[in-house]
Amino acid sequence: MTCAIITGLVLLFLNIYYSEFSHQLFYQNKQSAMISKATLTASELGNADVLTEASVAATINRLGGSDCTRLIVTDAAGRVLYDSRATGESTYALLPQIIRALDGQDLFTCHYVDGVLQSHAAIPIVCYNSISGCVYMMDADTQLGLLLSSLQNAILSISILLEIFLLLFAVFYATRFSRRLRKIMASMRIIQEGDYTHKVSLGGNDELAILGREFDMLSERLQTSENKRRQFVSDASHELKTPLASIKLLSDSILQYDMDPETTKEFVQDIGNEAERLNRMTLKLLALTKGELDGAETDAEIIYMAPTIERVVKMLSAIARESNIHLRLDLRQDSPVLIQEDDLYQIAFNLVENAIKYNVPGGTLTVSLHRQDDNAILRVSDTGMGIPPEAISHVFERFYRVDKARARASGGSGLGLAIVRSMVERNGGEITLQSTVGKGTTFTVSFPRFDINEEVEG
Amino acid sequence: MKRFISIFLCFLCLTLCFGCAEDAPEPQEGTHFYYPLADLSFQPGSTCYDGEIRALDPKDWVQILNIYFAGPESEHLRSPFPAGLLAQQTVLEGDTVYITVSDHLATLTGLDLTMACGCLSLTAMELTGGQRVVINAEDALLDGQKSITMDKNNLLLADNWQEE
Repeated sequence: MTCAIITGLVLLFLNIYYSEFSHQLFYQNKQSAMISKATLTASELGNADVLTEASVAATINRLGGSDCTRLIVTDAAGRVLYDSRATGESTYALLPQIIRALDGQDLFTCHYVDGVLQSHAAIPIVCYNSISGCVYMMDADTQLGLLLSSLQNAILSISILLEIFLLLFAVFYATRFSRRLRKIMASMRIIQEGDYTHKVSLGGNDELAILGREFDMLSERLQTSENKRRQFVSDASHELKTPLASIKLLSDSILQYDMDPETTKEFVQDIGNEAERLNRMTLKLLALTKGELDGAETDAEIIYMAPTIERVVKMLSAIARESNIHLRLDLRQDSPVLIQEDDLYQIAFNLVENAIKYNVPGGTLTVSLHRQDDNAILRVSDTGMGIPPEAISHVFERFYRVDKARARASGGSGLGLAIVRSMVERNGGEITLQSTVGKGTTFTVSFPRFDINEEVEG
Repeated sequence: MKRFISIFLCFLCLTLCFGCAEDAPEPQEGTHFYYPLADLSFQPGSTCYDGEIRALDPKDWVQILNIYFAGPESEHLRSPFPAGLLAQQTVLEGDTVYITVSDHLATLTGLDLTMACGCLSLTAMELTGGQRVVINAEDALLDGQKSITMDKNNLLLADNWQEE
C-alpha cells in the first residue's frame, strides 16, 4: 500500500513536472518567435521621426501585416496609433504590458488558460534614445493549446491507469504477503506449543519462501535436538542403573551370605569400584550437559579386555547362579585395544546381563575373547530362546523389545542393545549377532587390536 | 499505516473542499476611487488599476474629488496625481461630466497624464453616472491640448480578445 501511495505521488509529481516542462518548452518557442517579430516591428517603427497612425500602418503593411491575434502600436502617452482588432473607438491603451514597455522594459508573458495558450509581448519603440511608443502583440494559440491539453490528458490518463494497476497489484501483493506471513506466524505458534514436526511449506522463491524454508530447517533442528535430549535422558538413566544394580547385588550378597572377612572385603571393594564408576559417569553426564549432548570427549586408553570382562562376569555370576545358568569363560586370547574402559564394562555388562535374562533355566552362557586378523573379538553366547529372523534387524533400535511381556517382567527397557551398539561404534568397533530360535544367540563385538610393539616401532 | 492513509485522505478532502476556494466578495456600499496598481500584474485579463471603496456623501462631487486626489489608502495602489491638485468644478451635462482641476495637472505629460486622466475618468463616471468625461486644467494645456476627453469605449484597459 505504501508502495502504491509513493508511486501515486511520484506519478503526480511527474505529471506536474511534465506539465511545467511542456509549458516552458512551448513558452520558450513562443517567446522567441514573438519577441523577434515585436522587436523587428519596433525597430522599423523607431526609424520614423514621428509616429502617426498613417506611418505606423504603412510600416506594418510593409512588414507583411500582423500574423498574431492582436497588434497594438501606441505613442509614448499610450494613445493607440494602430490596433489590428480596432473597433475604431479605442484611443488610449492602458494595458499593464504597454505601461511596462513604455517604462522602457521588454516584456513577454505566456499563459495557458482554458485550453488556449495566450502570449503577450510588449517592446518599447526607441527613437533617438527616447521612448516614442511601444509595440504590443497578443497571440491566442488554440491549436498549440489543444496539443498541450491533449498531451497532458494522455499522460494523466496513462498515469491514472498505471496507478489503478499499481493499486490492484499492491492490494493483491499485500493480501498474498499477509496470508503467507500469517501462515508463518501460525506455524510459529504451533512450534511454540511443542509440535516440532510441523512445517510451514511455503512455495515460491521470494523472501518469505526463503524465511519459511529457514524456519522449517530450524524446526527440524529443534526436533533433532529434542530427540537427542530425550535419548540422552533415557540413556543416562539406563547407564546409571547398571552400577546401582551392581551395588545392590553386592550389598545383598554381603547381607544374605555368611562370608569370610576376605570375601566381604573383596565385595566391599567391588562396591567401592562401582561407586567410583557411578561417580565417573555422573561427572561425564555433567560435562555432557555443559557441552553438546553427543559430543562426548574420548578418554580412550590402551587396555587389555580380559580384566574388565572378568569383573563383569564376576559381578553378574550371582544372578546367573540364581537363574541356574552355567557360566563359561574363555579369555585366553586377550588383546590390547584402544577403548574407554567404562564403555567396555558397560558393553560387556549389557551383553552378559541380556544373555542371563533371556536364557533358559539350566542354560549356558559363554563369554570368550579371540583374535581374528587385526581385530580383538568378544563373543557372548547363550542357549536361550533366540531371536526371530524378522526381529534381528530391529534389536539394536531404541525401545525395541522382541518379547515385550518377558522384557517387562525382567525390567528391560529396550535400550541396552542400542546403547551397546552406540558405544561399540563410538570406540571404532563393530557388533553383529547370529541367532536361531530355540537354540540361542551369539553377539560378536570386534575392536581393532592395538599392537603395542608395532606402535612403539612406528 | 491506516493512520497515515486516513490523515492523507482527510488532507486531500480538506484541500479539495477549501484549499482552492476563494472567499466570495462581500457587497460594499460607497464610491469607488480608482488608482493605478503599485505592482503590475501580467496575468490574462488583468488591468493596471484597481478601486477602493470610500463611504462618502456622493452629493458634493468637488469635495469627493479632492479627497480622491489626496491618494489611496490601500498600499497596493499608488496616486497618479501631482501634489496640490484640486478639483475646481464638476458639472454633469447630459451624459458628459466636465471636470475642471487646478493647473497642477498640467505638470504631467505622456503616459503619466494619460494614466491620471484615465483613473479620474473611471472614478468620475461611477461617481456621477456620466458616460464621458472632459478634463481641463483651468487655462493650462494638457500635453498641448485644451482638454482631454475619455469615455468607457475609448479606454482599452484589458485585452479581452475573446469578447471581440
